[in-house]
Amino acid sequence: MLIQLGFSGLAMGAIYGLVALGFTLIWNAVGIVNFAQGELVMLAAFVSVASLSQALHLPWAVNLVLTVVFMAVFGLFMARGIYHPLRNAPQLGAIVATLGLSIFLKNSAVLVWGPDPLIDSGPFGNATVSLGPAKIYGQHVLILVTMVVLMVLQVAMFRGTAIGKAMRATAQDREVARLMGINTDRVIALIFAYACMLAGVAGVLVAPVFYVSADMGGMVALKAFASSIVGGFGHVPGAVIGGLILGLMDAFGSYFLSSQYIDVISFGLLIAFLIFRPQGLFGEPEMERP
Amino acid sequence: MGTKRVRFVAIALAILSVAAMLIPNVLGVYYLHVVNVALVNVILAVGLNFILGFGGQISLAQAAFFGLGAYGYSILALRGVPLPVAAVAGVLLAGGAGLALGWPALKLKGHYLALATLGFGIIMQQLMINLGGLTGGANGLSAIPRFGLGPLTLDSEPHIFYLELIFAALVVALSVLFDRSPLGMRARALRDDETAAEVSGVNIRNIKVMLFVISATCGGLAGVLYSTMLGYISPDVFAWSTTFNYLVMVVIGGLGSTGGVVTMAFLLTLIPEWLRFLKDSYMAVFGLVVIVMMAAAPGGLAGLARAATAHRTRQRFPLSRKGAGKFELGKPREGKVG
Repeated sequence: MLIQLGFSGLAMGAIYGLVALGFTLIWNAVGIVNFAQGELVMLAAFVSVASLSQALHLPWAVNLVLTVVFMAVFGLFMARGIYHPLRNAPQLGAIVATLGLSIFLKNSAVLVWGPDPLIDSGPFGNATVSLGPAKIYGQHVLILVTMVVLMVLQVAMFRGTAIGKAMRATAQDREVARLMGINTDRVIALIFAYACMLAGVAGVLVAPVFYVSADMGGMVALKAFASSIVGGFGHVPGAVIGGLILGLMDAFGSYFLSSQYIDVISFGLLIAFLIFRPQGLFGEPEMERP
Repeated sequence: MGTKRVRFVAIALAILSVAAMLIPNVLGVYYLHVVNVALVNVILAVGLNFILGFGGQISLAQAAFFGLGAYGYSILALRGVPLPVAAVAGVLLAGGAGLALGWPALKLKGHYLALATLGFGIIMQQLMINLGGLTGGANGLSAIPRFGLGPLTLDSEPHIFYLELIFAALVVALSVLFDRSPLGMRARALRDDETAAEVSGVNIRNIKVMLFVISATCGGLAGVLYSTMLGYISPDVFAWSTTFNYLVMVVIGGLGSTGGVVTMAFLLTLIPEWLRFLKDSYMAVFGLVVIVMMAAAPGGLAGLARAATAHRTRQRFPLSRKGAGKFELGKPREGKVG
């Protein structure tokens, strides 16, 4: 039972982590909290399930690739159409705009795909893997494996490739990066595209676990916010680890404590962290900037 | 204030009160109800404007305070507590929660404060849904007693209209007076530059907590009025995501501009009624319009008006500085260092 709970917690945690990672990257690059990150997951899940899987019956791998490509294009559009005009606007303007985007996506999804939730069986259906006495869902294993592969690829990209280094430089100090000859506008567009791709992977992976509905993004995004605060806001590995912690807490908390109040506990934790340890578990204390 | 100004204000007040007398007779029951909803929104938005517009602190918890006021009043009123006591308790509950949130939130700024108040909003929303015995769970509460004093029960739309008009006028008057008072100046100093305000002797802790409490109290007041207006409440009205509406009223109305916020509160209540034909696509269109507005006019209505007068002034007096270099909330964003 414990192993089973642990696995489902880690799988959900991996999803939270992917989403948290997406907006951590955007936050580091441009200083905006993207409140629409959860709706990006929802968008990807609808594209994958409604348009690609149920309408076209594409195999799962093709489906994943196409969804991720779609999300990358959407990310480029987001950078051009929403971030770019707002780049010099005050903070609050950006918050309102991303909240506006989340409302727009949520309600457009209802218009396009209808109000009824969709059910997707995923590549494995209800197949389980036996691990000793515990039965683990194939989908959970798939989520965890994808997560590990993605993290390895990401580290390789950030450390090894020129574009990864340009992304890190831009996140560290945009002005200096620009002076060093990096086309920061293009790099920022790529970061948005990558963050949307992460949301796309999360959407495809989570679709068989949840019902696919216009509201599915909300709670995932809120849990991802909590994850990134627990891990240390703006801390890249912290976002993933925070996600795993939140996922495990969800699984064990709703089993042993109370499934009704688990969200209250999660967000109580978020507030407690913000007040007593705003740098999270892994971040460094932030110096006041003038 | 010169005598001319006093006379102007007196005449304006007289005209307005005559108009207020006539409104319930002119408008049909349906539109009167819409106006009543708009007045609740005015109180919520003008209240939010205290912390957001005057203080420059981002709060996403207004819907939670709204809910605390509504549930506080309804729960007590349903249990037979005298109505005035229940109403005052509802408002105080919200104000107290504002104090409880505002005090620890002093350490937080910008997005961190936004996330902390968001967390508070979600916790309140979850409690409203899950404390079924007290709050009626997802179905909410119904048959809430209408507010009344002694033998007088305010149970028709015109009665509710006058009740709400009085409180909305009080909140708007408070906002206008605050804006012009030395206290309001200190709040604006805090918004424009916290460090500079602090070294100039402004007690920023007290001002922040005070603004939080005023915003929360207005939210609670709106909640009490809302539940006595409708007689039933359900948790989805107070979901954290509805804070977005009040945020849009304040930001597009113009931060710190009482007139702009009141205008937007009315517009955003009336426009959905006029755009009924859009049906389900209204919210999608609304989201899109907000994004475009933010990109095109980050200063909101008040910003547009200011830009227009500044333009006219510059045409007539090319060297005038008036209207140039007005404040904007927050500094331009930068990527996080480190």
